[in-house]
Amino acid sequence: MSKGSLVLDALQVKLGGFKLHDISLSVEPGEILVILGPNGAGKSVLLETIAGFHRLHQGGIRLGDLNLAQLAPEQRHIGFVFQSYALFPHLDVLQNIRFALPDSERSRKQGVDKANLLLERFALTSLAKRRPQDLSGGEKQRVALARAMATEPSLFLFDEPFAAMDAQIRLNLSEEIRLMLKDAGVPAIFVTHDQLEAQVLADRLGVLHNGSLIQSGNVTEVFSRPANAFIASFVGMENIYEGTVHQILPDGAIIKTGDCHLLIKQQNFSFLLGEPVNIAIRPEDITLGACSNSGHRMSNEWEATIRSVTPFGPLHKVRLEAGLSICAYVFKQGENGMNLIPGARVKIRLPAEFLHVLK
Amino acid sequence: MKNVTHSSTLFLVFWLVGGLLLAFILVPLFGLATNQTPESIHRVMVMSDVQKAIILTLEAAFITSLIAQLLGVPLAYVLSRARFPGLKILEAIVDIPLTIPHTVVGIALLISFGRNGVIGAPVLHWTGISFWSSFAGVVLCMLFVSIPYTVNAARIGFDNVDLRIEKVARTLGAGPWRVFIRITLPLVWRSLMTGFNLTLARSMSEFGSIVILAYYPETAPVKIYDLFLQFGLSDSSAMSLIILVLTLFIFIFFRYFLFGRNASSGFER
Repeated sequence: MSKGSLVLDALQVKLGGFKLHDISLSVEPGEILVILGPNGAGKSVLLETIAGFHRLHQGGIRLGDLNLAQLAPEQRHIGFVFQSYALFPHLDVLQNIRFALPDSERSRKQGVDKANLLLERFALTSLAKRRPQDLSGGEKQRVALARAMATEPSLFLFDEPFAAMDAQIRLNLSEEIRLMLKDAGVPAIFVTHDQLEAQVLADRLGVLHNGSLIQSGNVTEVFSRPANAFIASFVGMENIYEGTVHQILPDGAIIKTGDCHLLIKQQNFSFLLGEPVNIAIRPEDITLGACSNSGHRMSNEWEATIRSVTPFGPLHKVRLEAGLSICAYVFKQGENGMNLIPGARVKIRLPAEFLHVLK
Repeated sequence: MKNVTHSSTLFLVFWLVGGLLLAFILVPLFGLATNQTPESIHRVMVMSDVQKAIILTLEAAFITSLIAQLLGVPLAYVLSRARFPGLKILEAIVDIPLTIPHTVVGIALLISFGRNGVIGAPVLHWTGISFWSSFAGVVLCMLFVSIPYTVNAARIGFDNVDLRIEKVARTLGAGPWRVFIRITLPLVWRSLMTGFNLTLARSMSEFGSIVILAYYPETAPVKIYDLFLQFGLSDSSAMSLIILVLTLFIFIFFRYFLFGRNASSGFER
């Protein structure tokens, strides 16, 4: 298993009417890069290009010292885990794994030992004679991983493996994959359109849209400081408002949106006075409290009316009206004696440090 | 709860119409069966030229089906996987034998594959094989009229294979040939057997083109025609019943062979 990093250099692919534009990225050994993007963004095309199924129009792919672009898919030593795992339906678990052993080992004792070791490591020994159609989602994943490991891959690629599964199972399987990858110590790219999966798995995150990598960085960076309104809404920033720069301050600005003036704390504020901008905040960053009569008002704080309250996992998703239409997540028990029912008045605060200005 | 669809007048009328159609298929065959006496069947069965014709038909149809697989499966794979302008035209060409009268096929084959044909003459010269009035000619006619069944059945099989399964096999270190033999072929095995079965049945029943290119050696359908012209309905209908039973037997045998066995057996060590 070579331990080189994966480097894509200004990769361009043309496929019918679809294009991947100038994709440059690198993934270190042991690092998991998650590529997040909507359907049709080109996520699968990107992975299949790295694996050797599409011809490069321009650019290069290197893995350690190896120029991948010159090799056929079977020579690239890539562990590719497809949507729904793509197990061979006519072969049992053991045969699925043995298929991946190198020719030199397949029929020898060495190969038998290796296959048995993989069965053991992925807790599949008792399932060795089962066909894929008789396996649960979790078992299928373990077979797919064991099969990929049999080739001793130098790179792992995952193409939305959980697409056909329940939400609960997905998170468990994501954690399992993360542990396995950390153990293997090779670079990995995982594509998904699910932001929760992305958060569980990613060391770093890239956002792909219409064939272009439009932002990459660490998870917190992308999720709390998205580069544009598309990324913001895609990563679950439900509160995005149009506004204009009203006043520039030493460590931020004041943005006017509708009748509200919002104080922003943002280093390197790069917008001009009067420039139209979008302003965004994640629902979980909004603070709700009971209305008090103290009269003291902090910045970015208003009274709001609750429009609706919907259970959302361990949280409540609360929609409010305060001149702006606002969505917030709060814990179910409510806080500070708040009355979480439609029509009730509460105090909301949009902390200046969590408000993010974007194009 | 009342089943709305199944109790509607529409469904009842369609059942009646469908029943008429089924009767239309079964009544003549049943009539053929009940029209015979054991004596007439026995008399025809022991005729040596009848036996020869039946064996020849089975041999030729079987060889035809094998050749059809060898030639048809690669084309079906290309039609299923390749994307190029003109694909639709190739698909239409494959279906031509289904659409033209079989006597036309016979004449066309005679012109190209006859002793003076553009293909027939050199083949005769270099290999000594003649398609005119020969076993090779019978196989040629059977192949022409039945090849669409092989290609189309295989094509459906290839279309239904999840491409991700082939791709993952490549990433696991298998080259294109190994993927085709170890993964794709086992997955389309049933479709290939369906194609083989249909091709076999279609080949055994071919008459129109064979009667023109290779009247002799006589195949079973030609022999039935011969008996009908020479001796009338009695002998020809007895032989018809023998062929009918044989064909049904083969058809049922293959269906059992197809669906009674696991699709992968014999393909993985």
